[in-house]
Amino acid sequence: MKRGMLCALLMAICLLLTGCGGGQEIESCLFVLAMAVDPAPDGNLTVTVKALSGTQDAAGGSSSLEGENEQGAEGGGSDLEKAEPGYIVLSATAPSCLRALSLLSATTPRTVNLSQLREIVISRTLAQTDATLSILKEIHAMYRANGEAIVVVTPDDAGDFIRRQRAILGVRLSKYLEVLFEHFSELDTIPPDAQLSAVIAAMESGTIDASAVYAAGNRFDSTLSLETGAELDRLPGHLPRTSPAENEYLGTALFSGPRMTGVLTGEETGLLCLMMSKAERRTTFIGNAQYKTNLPTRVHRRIDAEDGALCVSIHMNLTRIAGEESASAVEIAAQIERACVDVLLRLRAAGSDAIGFGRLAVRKSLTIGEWEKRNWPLEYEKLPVRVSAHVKVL
Amino acid sequence: LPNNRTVTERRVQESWRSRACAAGLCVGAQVFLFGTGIAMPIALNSAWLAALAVLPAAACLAAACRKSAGKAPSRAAYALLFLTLMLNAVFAVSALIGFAEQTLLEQTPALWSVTVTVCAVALCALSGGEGVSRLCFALRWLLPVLIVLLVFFSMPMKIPDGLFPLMGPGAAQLGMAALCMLGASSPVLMLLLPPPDLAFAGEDAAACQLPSKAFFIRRVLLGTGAGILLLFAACVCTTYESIGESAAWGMRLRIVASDQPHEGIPQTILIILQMTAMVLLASSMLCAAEEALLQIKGNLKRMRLGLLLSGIFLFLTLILLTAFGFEILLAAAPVLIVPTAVVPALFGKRKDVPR
Repeated sequence: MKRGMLCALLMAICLLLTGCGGGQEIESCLFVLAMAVDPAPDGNLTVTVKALSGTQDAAGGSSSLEGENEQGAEGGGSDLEKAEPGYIVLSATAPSCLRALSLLSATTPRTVNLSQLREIVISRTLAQTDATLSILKEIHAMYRANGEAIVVVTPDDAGDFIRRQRAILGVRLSKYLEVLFEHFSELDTIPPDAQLSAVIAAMESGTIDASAVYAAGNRFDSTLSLETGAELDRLPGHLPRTSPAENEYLGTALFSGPRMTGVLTGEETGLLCLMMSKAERRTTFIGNAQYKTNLPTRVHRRIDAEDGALCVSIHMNLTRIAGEESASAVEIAAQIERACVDVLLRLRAAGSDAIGFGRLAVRKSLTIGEWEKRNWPLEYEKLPVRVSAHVKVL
Repeated sequence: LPNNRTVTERRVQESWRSRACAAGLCVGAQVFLFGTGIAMPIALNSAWLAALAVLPAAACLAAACRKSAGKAPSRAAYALLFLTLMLNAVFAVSALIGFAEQTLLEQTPALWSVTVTVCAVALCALSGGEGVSRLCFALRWLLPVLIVLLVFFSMPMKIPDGLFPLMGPGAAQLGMAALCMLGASSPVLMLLLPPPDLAFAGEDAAACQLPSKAFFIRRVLLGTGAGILLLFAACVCTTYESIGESAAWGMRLRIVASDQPHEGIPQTILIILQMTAMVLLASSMLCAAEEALLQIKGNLKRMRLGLLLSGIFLFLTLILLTAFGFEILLAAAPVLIVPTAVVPALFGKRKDVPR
């Protein structure tokens, strides 16, 4: 009797614990790889997504979808464009990001799925408003949205930016974007904590400010010549080069709270990574020589107890691997110190504590009330900065 | 060869040892659930400091339970004990549902979640208090160590950003949170009930000496410490602003499993282990509640009617909570401190029953 009851219960459990209920077929999902958000008239937002079309032959897939687009456009401004084989670009305009995505879901015969999202591009005009945080939080709150997607700010139209985004060098777009961000992270030309969840956490925090990747379309004909000789001491869109990849990811978009307040060039971003102890660059050019870099200890950051100065102490070993040595260790150290001070002053001028000195300052406050009364953002803008670099040329 | 007396003595010792391990594991799990559910909204990042108040409370309670073990109080005392243990089970299952909805079963309807979770807990409790205690005993090191290791690998931020400001919103809120946390020690009350397997050992078992007070206190404190450590990890790996933004209980429960529970293998294993701890807590409480019910009415032992009644009580309470919102439970849970203090006193009043 007891065994019979147990067997019956186990069979019931088999039915109850089935994992198949409410399952989604892969064909029924619209896997979004890149998303762009632009401002639209009357306080609306235009959300553009680049997604897998699910077919190898884009023409076959697009004909049916174009029909939907017409319906969607009549119903509320949904737009669809043919992008490249295997991918489709859709856009919708609505008062909020979430409603725009709902509109896309409602006008496409597939469920919008953000689990494969690799990048979120926001136009600079929008990033300079307080709406950025709410937009990012709406995206993050969507079912299974990928919190590791990289947040990118562009001075161009964000929708056009992702339309130009193509997978080159023979890989699929998702892998291409992964490799691209990994590669630029290794070069330290993009900030280290630009992932969606990290950006939201930093924007919500009172002890650190967010930083995102700065990117733009290449305008080879309008090359901006900067005063310094460093190749990467530029902003994206101004690099003297030609390539099938039109978009350039270089530099940092600085935020103060939820609002974008400044930018850093590629070279400055490298120094920012260095001061954040997240530098990954293994080789560097100083003068005409190429050096292999090594940080034997973590970069030490502190707030001076006497004058409250923001202090950074860097210890670096350099091994020359090519070229002629033109500067001594002391000269190189002085050069790094000057450059780091410049970056800190730029951060301070933008009111952006991207390095996180606030996390050191908060330690002196016992309660949240005490910390908030201190008004760190205002204090930060007045504090002096000091950098000491110790370089050993091996 | 050992004689019968030695064998019985060893059996009594081992039964109580597994019972004490189960109590320790349950208190640890309950500390984490109370911490994320009740203390975090009040004390934000300093919830772990508030949880430290559970250490002396759990130790005192374990000592009181040891003192009162083997005494037979009135039916009312057993009824109060039954309700306290059931409230603990309801709290654990509610946490399990909220956690599952935020992690592995995001699109599952609430009623379905309740049914599946109650079935899982009831199935685990089917082996009886003895079986669950033995399982807890087997996992007493493995479960906490694996959780700690996985927390280390899964934490969204390695730097303890959330540690400061150390006192969180202030001393008043910290005190209030500490007071609310005291109810987390209530699973220790299961030590008032003798292990069910000793009933078969007869009079020999009754004559055997129980393990010492320190024996119980040590095991309960170890479990409580593990729970506080996990709560500490949840508090320090995120900022007080993010804790304040996490409105749902399930969101706070998953902080240590980072933002990406679907993608990473360590995160998913951590979630499963956390769920295992919650299931063990719920099934231990359910079994203990069944034992308390049997003390009130002995004939409920037949065909596990006691467990059936406890299961129905659990299911109906959860259905009501689904309809009216789990916030009611979170608001009511701190009241657990009252029966937690009263029940050992009621048990202590009566004289020893003849063995």
